[in-house]
Amino acid sequence: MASVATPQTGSRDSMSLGQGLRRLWDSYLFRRILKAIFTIWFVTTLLFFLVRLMPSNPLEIYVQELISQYGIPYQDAMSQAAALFAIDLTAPLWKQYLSYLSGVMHGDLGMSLRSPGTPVTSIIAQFLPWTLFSVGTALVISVTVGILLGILMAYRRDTWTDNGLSVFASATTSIPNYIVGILIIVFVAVRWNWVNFAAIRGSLSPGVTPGFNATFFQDALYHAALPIATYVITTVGFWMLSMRNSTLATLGEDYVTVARARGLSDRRIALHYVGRNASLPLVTAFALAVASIVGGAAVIEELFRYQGIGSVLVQSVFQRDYPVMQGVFLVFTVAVVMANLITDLSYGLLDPRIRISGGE
Amino acid sequence: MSPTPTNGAWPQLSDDVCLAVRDLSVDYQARRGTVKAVNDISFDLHNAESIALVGESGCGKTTLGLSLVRLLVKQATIRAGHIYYQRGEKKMDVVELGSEELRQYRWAECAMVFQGAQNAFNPVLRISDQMYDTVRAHGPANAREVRERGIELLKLVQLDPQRVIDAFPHELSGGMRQRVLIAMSLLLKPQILILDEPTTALDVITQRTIIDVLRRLKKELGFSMIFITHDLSVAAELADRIATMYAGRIIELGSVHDIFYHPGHPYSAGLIHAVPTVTGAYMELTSVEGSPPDLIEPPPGCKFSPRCAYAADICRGRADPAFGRQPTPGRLSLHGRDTRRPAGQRSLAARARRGSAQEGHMTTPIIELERQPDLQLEGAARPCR
Repeated sequence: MASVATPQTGSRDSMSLGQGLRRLWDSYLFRRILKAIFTIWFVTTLLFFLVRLMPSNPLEIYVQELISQYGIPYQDAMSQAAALFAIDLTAPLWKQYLSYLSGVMHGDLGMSLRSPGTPVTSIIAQFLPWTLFSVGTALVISVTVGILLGILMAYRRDTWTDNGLSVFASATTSIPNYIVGILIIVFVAVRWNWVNFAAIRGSLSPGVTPGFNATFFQDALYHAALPIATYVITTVGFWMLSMRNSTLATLGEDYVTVARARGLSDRRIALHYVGRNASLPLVTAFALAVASIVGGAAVIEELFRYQGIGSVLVQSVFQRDYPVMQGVFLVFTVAVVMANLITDLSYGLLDPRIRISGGE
Repeated sequence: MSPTPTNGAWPQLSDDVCLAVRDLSVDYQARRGTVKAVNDISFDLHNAESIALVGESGCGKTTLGLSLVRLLVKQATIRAGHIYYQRGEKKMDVVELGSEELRQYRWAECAMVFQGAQNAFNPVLRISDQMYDTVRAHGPANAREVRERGIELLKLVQLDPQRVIDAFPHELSGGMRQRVLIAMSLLLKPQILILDEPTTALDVITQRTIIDVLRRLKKELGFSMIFITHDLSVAAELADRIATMYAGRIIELGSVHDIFYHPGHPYSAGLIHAVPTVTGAYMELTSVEGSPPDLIEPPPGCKFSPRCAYAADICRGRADPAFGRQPTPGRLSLHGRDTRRPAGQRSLAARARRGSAQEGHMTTPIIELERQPDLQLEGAARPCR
């Protein structure tokens, strides 16, 4: 559709090759995926070097720990640490980078420095599900509640319902999530003693094993409840305000007036004319929400002692466990990039104006 | 033709009247106060007749059009009046309709084509789906039959149905969308079609097409039309009668010929003289000086008097002079102004341009209305209080 006539140059052979490449390049999907891969590579590279620019290094920190905890002499501690660590930290940086990159491409994220013999991938596999569970649940609750309240606010604009909910939404969105987390701990767990904070720590109670049974889900939800509450409280306001504004804008559109002139029922208009169009801008916001919630997970999980990938990240940062840090950051990066990719691709399905025809 | 009907009673209407508006007034609630956008408007629309509403921006044309299908914004209320609609045995007062009856009345009886159809369609639904939606809202619908009828109508508005019927709105040009909307407006065979500036924001060639399409459709399908425009040439081409609106009132209502050749109200004359002619000799174009009045605190007396070259003390003097309320209505509502003009004599507006030279003559009110009983003008006289 938007193809621009290009001057035709080159011989016949190069033209057909060029046309082939051009057709491939014209494919929106191809370009989008290429962009996603490039983003992941770029962030990975950046992180690799940033991580190593942090003051101190895993060796020093480990040596310091050995000396202060066990009183081992410096020389002994050094040799013990050197034997423990699987990667050669003295190798030139570019060599380390290349070997890391080739590992990543083979799905090998290296070994943890501090838990010798444990591959980073298995650490991620162990802790990531908990974060996906808590963050995912929170996101679903937040988006659903936010959109419904947003529509309610728009239809009742300038009433007490609207004003009250607006104030609530603005207030909760502007408070950082760790403050909300601390407030929840202070009031819900300590002051009012509604939950037993000691028992709620961790991802599961001792003795409960993952499986398809009610006890497991109940227990998992019990342990995740406070982090989920924190995520929901700090993000629901954003969805409320976005949906409210979007719905208001849509209600003022000509096609809604015309739909009423056409005698369409209120329900039909609300669902297919207002609702569908008003939720379009929110699809883009969804990708951004994934990014912010994943980033926030690190602090929140640490705060509630929830054993997800965020708490692993915090721990690995303190220990300068390079491979684990890189691995977790890679997971975050992939999550955000994938969220963006899925958003972009699904947007075309929802809005025909954005739909890119592959053929032309 | 008929006196102002009392509340609830059905007025005496001749059978060929499809819409009779009586004393319609619409207010908008604004921060500063109440905007009296439409005031005491009365007129009859006959079967297969087309009336053009002309006037400056903000004179109440669109508000009047929207109130006929009760699509006014939340801040607006119909303060008074009736909108009588009849089609065979079907008789209703649109002002009194409940929400479900109103929904059925819209589009099936009276369809409205909006100004600038750019955004008239839901961007995420195909034209065929939106046509189906429309028919479905008014009763059982068969998707294939709706599609066939849609294709037939798209042909009538000179579009290629195969290209348009399954298109999304953004795939069509502005002129095409306008024509699709016109086609869609005829989907349920309404008796009345209201067109709000159907040619505004379109290039001249597209305007031409749309005017031709409308003229042909009206001839073939025989619906009545009210169209709102500030383009007098469009009015001249499409209308049987022209209603000049000013400050929420119809100040003059007459046949196209009368309005163009013997404008009664100085404002009508002013509008006509503000339009250049193609074939005529060089003529000085004049705009109507000044700007429309504030409708929250309208000027006393005749609302046009502050801008009127002929305004006399009697026009502004009384709070609300009732000169227009003649038992036998005349064509115009100019207070007692004699607009009879022997052939060859300069038109009112031409004299106005002479201005001061004839001032003495102009300011003398002559209490005699031109009477043209052959025209149905009961509404025309009244708004010009």
